[in-house]
Amino acid sequence: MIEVENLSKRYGKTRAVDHVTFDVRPGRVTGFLGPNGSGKSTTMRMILHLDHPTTGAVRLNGQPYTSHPEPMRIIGSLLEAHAVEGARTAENHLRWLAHSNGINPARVREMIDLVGLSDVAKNKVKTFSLGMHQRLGIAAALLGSPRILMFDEPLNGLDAEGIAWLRNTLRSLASNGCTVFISSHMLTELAQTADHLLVIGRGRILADAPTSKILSDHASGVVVVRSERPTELADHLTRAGARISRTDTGALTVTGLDGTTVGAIASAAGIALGELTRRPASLEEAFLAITGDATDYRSNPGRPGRPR
Amino acid sequence: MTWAHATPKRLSGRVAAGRIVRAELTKLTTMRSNWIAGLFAIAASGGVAALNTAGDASNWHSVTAAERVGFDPIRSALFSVIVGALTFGSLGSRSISAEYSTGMIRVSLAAMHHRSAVVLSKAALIAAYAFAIGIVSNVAALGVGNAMLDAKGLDLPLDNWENLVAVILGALAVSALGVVGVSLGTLLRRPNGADIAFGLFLFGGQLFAPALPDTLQKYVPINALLATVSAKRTPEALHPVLALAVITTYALVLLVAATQSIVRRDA
Repeated sequence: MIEVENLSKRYGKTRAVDHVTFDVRPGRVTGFLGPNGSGKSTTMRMILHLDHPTTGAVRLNGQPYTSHPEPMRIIGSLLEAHAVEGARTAENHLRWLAHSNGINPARVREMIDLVGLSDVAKNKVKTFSLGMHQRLGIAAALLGSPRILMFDEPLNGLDAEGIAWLRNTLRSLASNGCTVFISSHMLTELAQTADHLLVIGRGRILADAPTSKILSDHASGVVVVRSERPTELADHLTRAGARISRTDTGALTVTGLDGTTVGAIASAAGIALGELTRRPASLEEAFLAITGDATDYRSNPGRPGRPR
Repeated sequence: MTWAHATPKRLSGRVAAGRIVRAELTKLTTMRSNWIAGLFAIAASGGVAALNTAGDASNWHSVTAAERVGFDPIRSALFSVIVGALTFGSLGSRSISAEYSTGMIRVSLAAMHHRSAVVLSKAALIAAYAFAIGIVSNVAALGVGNAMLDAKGLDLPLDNWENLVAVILGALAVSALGVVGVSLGTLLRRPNGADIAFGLFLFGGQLFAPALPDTLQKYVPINALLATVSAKRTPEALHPVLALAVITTYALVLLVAATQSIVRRDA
């Protein structure tokens, strides 16, 4: 279990993490979401005792990080996939890690086989793709058979097979009582993997709830409707209280009314429908609703400039 | 908030330190470039000794009697100790600054949270490696120098006590400079910056030498280094043992600063 209490981190005048308190409990996968610069990575570094908190404390299984003489047996982590010296082989990278925590070197080969790097174990890491780096980082995290796992963006660069493998591995570990804490920007994937979500924005915890509750509270889903008289249909739906947006293919995306009501309004107006589809609530929709006012960096919605 | 209480496993300090040393030894020995650097130091030391002593031998006929009395053949052969100093200063700084530049330092310090022990282990291993290579390099340089100067009646046998002391003190000085490299790498965190800082540390004193009083010039690192491999005693140079003590003091002061820095700063 990871226990974080009143944790803050200031860099000069910037408050990267602002008095956050939360628990990451065993037996479930907890997702950690937040916009860029929201404090996710800083929080994770403080959990690993890499950055010193300005205030607050972190405990792993009830004890501070530094009380664990073999930390890799307590928490396995992957913060940056590329944080490896490229001139060393994958096997040797895991070997020094095993020596550092008194882990049986036989685990090195087991972990390499587990993550599917057997054929390249003796290759220099600088020849690896991002996905292979991720697999090596995951092997390093699992090396000490820890009961807590913490991964920052572990899905980046993984292929479809790798994503499915990692999802199943994390779910299996959680179902065996491990504490699993992952951050990701791949919201669709996280919605499938995480049982519980922590949402952080501008250094503060904005939501701490089961995934299903966050979806039901912050995302309603939409109805996609297609007709040969879209403008007339949109007027009728707007009068009924819906919010309408038009897709590139000419379909209408309707928020605020359910599919039955949309169908009934179209029928009453004598407008034939070519499509009426309900799209379930998405984590992306919930995430944007929660973090709407807590995003520091936004894309410019205007058109891209003409190439010069 | 209530905290669950789990009693962490206890490890003796000796076991914990042994694991850190073993991990750092694995890091050191699994980079091919570290082996190449050692071989380079030996070969280049022999080459520098050959060039230096060949130059002295070829000019021997034009040297005055007074200059012949003051000539120090050991220092001429072991001038190559500078090669070892540069090699292990750079190797030492890169042993940690390369980890900072790749981000691997965060993997290291998450796995080994006794941060000062990580720096001390690196320093001890680089010092040991530098000493071993330094001995081989100095013996090679002495052998080459002996071959070049023998015809002038200036033989440099290894079984001569004075020569043996110069070989050992020179190797110890290179060890200490390896520790300086580790310390600068820890303090500056950037490989190129740490290399430049080491170059300035070793040779920078020469730039400011004209501004220094004569009594202080012998404490400049490069002068102290060359004094460790000198057999002739002059008022301008430190005694070899004192010269080694001066270099070791520089190394220890920087090492203390480095351990304080790694403990206090974010990784």
